[in-house]
Amino acid sequence: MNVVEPIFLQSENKPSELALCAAGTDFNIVSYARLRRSVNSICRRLISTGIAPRNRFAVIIDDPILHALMLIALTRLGVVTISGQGQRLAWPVKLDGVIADKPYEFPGGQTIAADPAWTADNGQAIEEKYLCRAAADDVCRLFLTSATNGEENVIAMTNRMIATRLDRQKLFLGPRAPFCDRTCLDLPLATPLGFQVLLATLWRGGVLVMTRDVRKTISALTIYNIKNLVSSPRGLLNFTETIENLPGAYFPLEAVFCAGMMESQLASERAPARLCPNLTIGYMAADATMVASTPAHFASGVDGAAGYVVPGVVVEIVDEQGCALPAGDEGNVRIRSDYGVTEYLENPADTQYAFRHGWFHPGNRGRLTRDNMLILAASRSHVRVVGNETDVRRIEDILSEHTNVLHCGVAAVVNEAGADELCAFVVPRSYLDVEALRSYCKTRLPSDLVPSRFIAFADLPKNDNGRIDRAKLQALLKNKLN
Amino acid sequence: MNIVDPILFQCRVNADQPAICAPGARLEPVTYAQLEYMLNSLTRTVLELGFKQGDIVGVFLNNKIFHVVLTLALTRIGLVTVSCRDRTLPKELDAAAAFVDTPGPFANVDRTIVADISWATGDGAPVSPDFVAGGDELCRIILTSGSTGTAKGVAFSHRNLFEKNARLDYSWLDRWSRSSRLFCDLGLSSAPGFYCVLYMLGRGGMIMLMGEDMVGTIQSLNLFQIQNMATSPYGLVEYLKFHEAQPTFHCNFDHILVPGSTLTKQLATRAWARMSPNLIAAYGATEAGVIASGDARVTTEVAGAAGFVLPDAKVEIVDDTNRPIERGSEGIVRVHTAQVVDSYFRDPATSARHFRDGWFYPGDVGYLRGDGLLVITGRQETLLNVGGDKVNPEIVEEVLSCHPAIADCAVLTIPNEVGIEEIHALIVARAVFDEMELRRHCAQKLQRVFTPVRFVAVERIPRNDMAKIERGRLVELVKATAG
Repeated sequence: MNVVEPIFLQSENKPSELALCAAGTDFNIVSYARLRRSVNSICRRLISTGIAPRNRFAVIIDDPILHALMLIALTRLGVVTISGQGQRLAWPVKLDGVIADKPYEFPGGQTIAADPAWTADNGQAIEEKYLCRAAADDVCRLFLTSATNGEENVIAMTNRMIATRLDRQKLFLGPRAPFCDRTCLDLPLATPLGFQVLLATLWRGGVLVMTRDVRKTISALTIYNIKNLVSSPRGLLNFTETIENLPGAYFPLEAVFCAGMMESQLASERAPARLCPNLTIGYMAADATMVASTPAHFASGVDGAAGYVVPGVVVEIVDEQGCALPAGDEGNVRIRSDYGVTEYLENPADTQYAFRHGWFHPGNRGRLTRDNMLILAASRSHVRVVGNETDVRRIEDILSEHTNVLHCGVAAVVNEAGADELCAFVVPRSYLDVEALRSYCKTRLPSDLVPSRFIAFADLPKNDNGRIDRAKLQALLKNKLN
Repeated sequence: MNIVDPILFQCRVNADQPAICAPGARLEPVTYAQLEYMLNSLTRTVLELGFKQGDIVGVFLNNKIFHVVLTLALTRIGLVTVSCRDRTLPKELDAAAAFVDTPGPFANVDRTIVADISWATGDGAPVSPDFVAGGDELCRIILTSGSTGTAKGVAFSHRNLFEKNARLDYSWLDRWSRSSRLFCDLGLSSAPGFYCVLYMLGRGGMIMLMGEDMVGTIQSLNLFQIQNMATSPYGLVEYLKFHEAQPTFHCNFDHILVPGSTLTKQLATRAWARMSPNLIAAYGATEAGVIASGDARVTTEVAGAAGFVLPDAKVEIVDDTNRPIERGSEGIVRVHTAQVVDSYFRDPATSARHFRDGWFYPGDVGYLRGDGLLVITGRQETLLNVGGDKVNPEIVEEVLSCHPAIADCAVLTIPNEVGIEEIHALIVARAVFDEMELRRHCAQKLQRVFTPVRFVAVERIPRNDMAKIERGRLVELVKATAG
C-alpha cells in the first residue's frame, strides 16, 4: 500500500475537520476536505510537468503546509521525495529534479517552481491511472542523515518500513501519546521522525500543528486543544522559555516527547513544570531506528540516559574488537533491528563502515544497565566544562544575537593542556573583534560558559536542517591551525 | 519480535496504569505492574510443563483475565494458542494440550491441564525464555465457523498480527485510536476480540472485558471512565435493552464499534438515541482482517452496506466463473489484503473452496458502489430459498426480534412434505407467545412467503463468540425439539 492512502480514507470520513495547522503562515489551517482538494490540484500540476513514478525529487519549500501537501502529492504519484532547505550545491545521491518555492539552480535535472496557487485549482479527483498503488517494498522517501563518520548521507525507506514505524511510535513517543490525536510537531519534515509524525497523525484522522512562529504556535496549542508535542531539545527549550514569559498561559498538553538528549534541568524541572509533567525522551539513531525511550523522570539524575531499548531492537555494547561487553560496561554502541535501513544510498564505502557485520554502528559510546536502559556517553552537543553540563546551543543562541555574527557554532576542543575548552566558530559580518565578543558574552552568560577562543571562518559546515554541523567543527579547526 | 514484547515494554513505562479488568472476576483491575508480575509467574510455570516451541495449545478458561494472561505467557514461550468456546478443538490441529478450569475429557486433545489461578501468584521475578519466538513463526490460531458450522483454524504469525494491529489505527475510523479505555464485549476466541486485547495492551491502554454479570459490568463502565465499546449487533441489543429499561442510567461511550454483521437502521436508531451518537460499522473476515468500515450514519442509509473499502484492501465482485463484473452489479464478493492468509490450517479441502488465485472468498454476495461503499446483500450459503424466492435470514430475524415477546430468535428453512423449503423460526420467548399474533406481526413487514410457518420455542440460540448464529446447528436443534 502507498503510505499516503489512509489519509484519503480520512478525507472521506471527516471532510470538515481540521487536518493541518501552521500558525503564522498563509495557509494557517487546512481541513481534510481541503487537503484532498489541494493534493488533487497539486497532483494535476505535477502530472503536467511530466514527472513520473520512481523519479527522485527534492522538495525545498519553506512553508510547512505547502511542503507537507507537496510530499503527499508526490508520494501519491509514486515519486520518491527528499526534503531539503536552501540552495544546495550538491546532493549525495542522484536526483531527477528539484521542486522549490524560490529560484533554484539545479544543474542535474529538472527544476520545478512550486507555487501556493497550485493548491487552489478545482481539486477534482485525478485519474486512477496516475495513482501509484505502490508495493510494500517500493522506496517512497529519502532522508538526509549524518553518517557515523560525520559525512552527509542518504537513507531510503519503503512503504512497509514507514508503515511499521508508524505503529512503533506507540512504544516510542511515551505512555500517553498513543491516545493523543492532536499533535504539535516541532521537527522539520526533512527528518525521519518529523515525516512519520505527519503521516501517523493524518492516518488516524488527527490534527497536526507544525511550528513556524513559536509564539503563534503556543496560541494554537490552546485554540485547537492540542494534546501532545513532539520536539527536538532545542525546540523544547524554545517553547519552555517562551512560556516562562507568559505566566498566565495554560496548556492542555498531555504528553511531550523530546527526540534527543537535553540539559538535565530542562528535562527534570523547567519543561515538566511549565509545559507538561508527562515528558518522554527518546533516542533515534542515524539510520532512523527508534532505539530507546523512557519517561524523563525514570532517567533523571542519569547523565546521557537515552531510555529503555524498545522491543524489536537489539542494542549491544562492544569493545574495539567487536566483542560484547557485560551490562554496566562502557563501549561502542551497535544496533540491530528489523526496522532500520541497511545502507547509505549510493555510498558503498560509508555503508560498509557503518553497517558492518549485520549491525548498524551509530558512532556513539555508551553502556546498558541491567534492565536494558541505554546510557550514552556525553554526546557531541553536550560538553563538560568545569564539571557543568551545558548546552552549547544556549551559547550559540546568545552569540547569534550579536550584530556582528552571521553564523556561529560552539564546540569543546582539547587545548594544549589536554583539557576541554569551549571554542566559538564565528562567521562575522565584518572583521572579528574577539574582545568585543568576549565581553558581550560575559554580560549574558555565566563565566564558565564564555568561550575561551573565538575563531573567524568564511563559512561553516551545515547539516540539512540549517544547523551547524558540530561533527565537522573539530576537523575545521585542525585544518585552520595547520 | 514476539507480540508480547510491546506489552512487557508498557509494563515498564506504564506500571501504575490499569491494564485489564473484568468486573466481578477474582482478579481486578490489573495494573501493568501486576500484569508483568502475573506474566512472569505464569511464564515460569508454563516453562516447566515440557512443551516445545510451536506446540499448539487450547485455552478454555472462564476467568477472562486469567485467560488473557495465560495466553500471553504461552505466546511468550513460543507456543501457538487457541482460545476455545467449548471442550473441543478440531482434530487437524493436533493440539499438544488444553488448559481448562475443571478436569474432564476434551475432544481431540489427549492432555488436559487444569490451570490454577495461583500460578499467577508466584514470585513474579523476571524470566527470559530460552527461545525467542517472533517474526514469521505462528503464534495464534483463531477458529472460524462461518456459516457452515464446522470449525476451521486460521493461523497467524507474530508479523501478521503486528501488521493487523498497525492497520487498526485507521481501519475502525479515526476516533478509535484516541480512546485509551475500551470495553470489549467480543469473545477472546473471535478475531476482533483478540485484536482489541493486543491493540489496547500494546499501546498502554486499558481493556475491560465482560465480567461475571452484565449489571456489574455496566456499572463499572462509568467507574473506570470507559470511552469506547466493541460489540456485535446481537450484544448491542442486549445493552440497549438494559439501558432502555433504566432511563436514568447514563451511557457515556464516545464510540461503539459494531463489527460482525450488518447494522440495521432500526437498531442503529435505538442505539444513537440511548447509547452513543457514534456507531462504527465494520466488515471483515478472520481470514483477511478488516476490509471495510464506515460511520453507521452512512452505512445504515443503504440496506446491507458494510462500509467503505479500506485503502489497503481490495474487493472484487465476480460471477460464478470468477470473472469480475461491472461495478454496481451484484455478485460474489472476493477480497484481498496484505495480511490475508492463504489457507485454512491443515484443511486443504475447505481451503480450496475459499482461497483461489490469491483471493479469499468469504461466501458473501454483494455489490460495490461507485464511491467504494461495499454492500453485502446476503451469503451464498445461508440465503434462504423459499420455492425460488430468496431472502436473507437476518431480515426475517430482525423483524421477529422487534416483537416484544421475543428475546432471541433464528430462522432456517426445512423442506415440507412436498419438498418445498419453508421458513421455521426458533424463538427464545420472554413470555408466552401467541403464534397467530407473531404471524400477523411478520406479515405486516415481510412478504407473505417469508413469514415463518412454524415457531419453535427453545431455551437458547446457538451463537459463536462474535455472537453470530451458528446456522449449522439449527437443524439439529429443531429436530431435537420436535422429537
